[in-house]
Amino acid sequence: MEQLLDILQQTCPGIDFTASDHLIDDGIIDSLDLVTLVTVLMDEYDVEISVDDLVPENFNSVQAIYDLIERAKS
Amino acid sequence: MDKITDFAALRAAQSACLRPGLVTNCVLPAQALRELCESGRLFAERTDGGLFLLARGATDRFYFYTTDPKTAPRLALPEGTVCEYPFAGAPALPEDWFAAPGFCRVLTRERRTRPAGDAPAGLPPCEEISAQAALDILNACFPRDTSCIPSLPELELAAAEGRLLGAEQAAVLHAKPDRGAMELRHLAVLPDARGRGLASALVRDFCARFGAQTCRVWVARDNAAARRIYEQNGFLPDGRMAQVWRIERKH
Repeated sequence: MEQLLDILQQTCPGIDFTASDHLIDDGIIDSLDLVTLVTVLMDEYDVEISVDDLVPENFNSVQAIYDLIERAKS
Repeated sequence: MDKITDFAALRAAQSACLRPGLVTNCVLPAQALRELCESGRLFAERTDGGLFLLARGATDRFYFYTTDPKTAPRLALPEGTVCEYPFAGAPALPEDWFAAPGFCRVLTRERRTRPAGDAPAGLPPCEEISAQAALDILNACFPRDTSCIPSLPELELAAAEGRLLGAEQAAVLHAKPDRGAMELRHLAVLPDARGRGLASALVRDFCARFGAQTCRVWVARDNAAARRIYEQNGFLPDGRMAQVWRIERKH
């Protein structure tokens, strides 16, 4: 989880990923950030994420992102 | 470009573009894409350079997923097609990427953010304005294809919720909440009423009403008067920009 947070913070330096459990709903991550984030995460973790996964529930918190990656690994 | 009828195939094509280095302007939610698909208004072309979408309507709109910014798209697009390209800091796509299929730059917008907290107090309230009167002013002041003019029902809702401000029935400000912030969506003053401080008054009133939360506005970079008003009211550039392009045939 810490490694994930590091990657998130390096990819989007201006964003505080721990600020909220509603990162998408509160506009802390917007659609441009999301695309950048997803492509980096796919590369770092060597997983496939589809556009259908790009929904608020999967990105509203660091935990949600972590869970998405875990599911994508299996 | 081919008409898209298979929505699942489109989603797979989009997913295939999710690669490092992807540059895209497509922020359409899945539902909007599905509706375009089902009404036969969505066209696509896949090349080595990426995936390109054309959404036909009152204004044709172009969306791209490019993994190779050095390869400009070679496409035949209808005259008047609009492409909006948002980015942070500096554009990843050069001007000639857009020029290749015939896009000319209409304008560049910058986003400005006013941090939450400081709401000036003690201002007289601005007048109410009807949704129809507001719509008439917006239509008189903004080109329809690049301005996202709201519908009458949207303005009626805004009026009911105190997000539609008027001044002397000649100027209007429309605000809309957008993911944790209040966005100043439109600010318009009829030509005959300019130079009297109506825009300033509306922005001050907007800040008085909504300044306790984060506020945002997009402003054309070459609109010096508007930028000055926003700056004076605490809206500062936050690094987000957007270029607006349109296909113009050379005669």
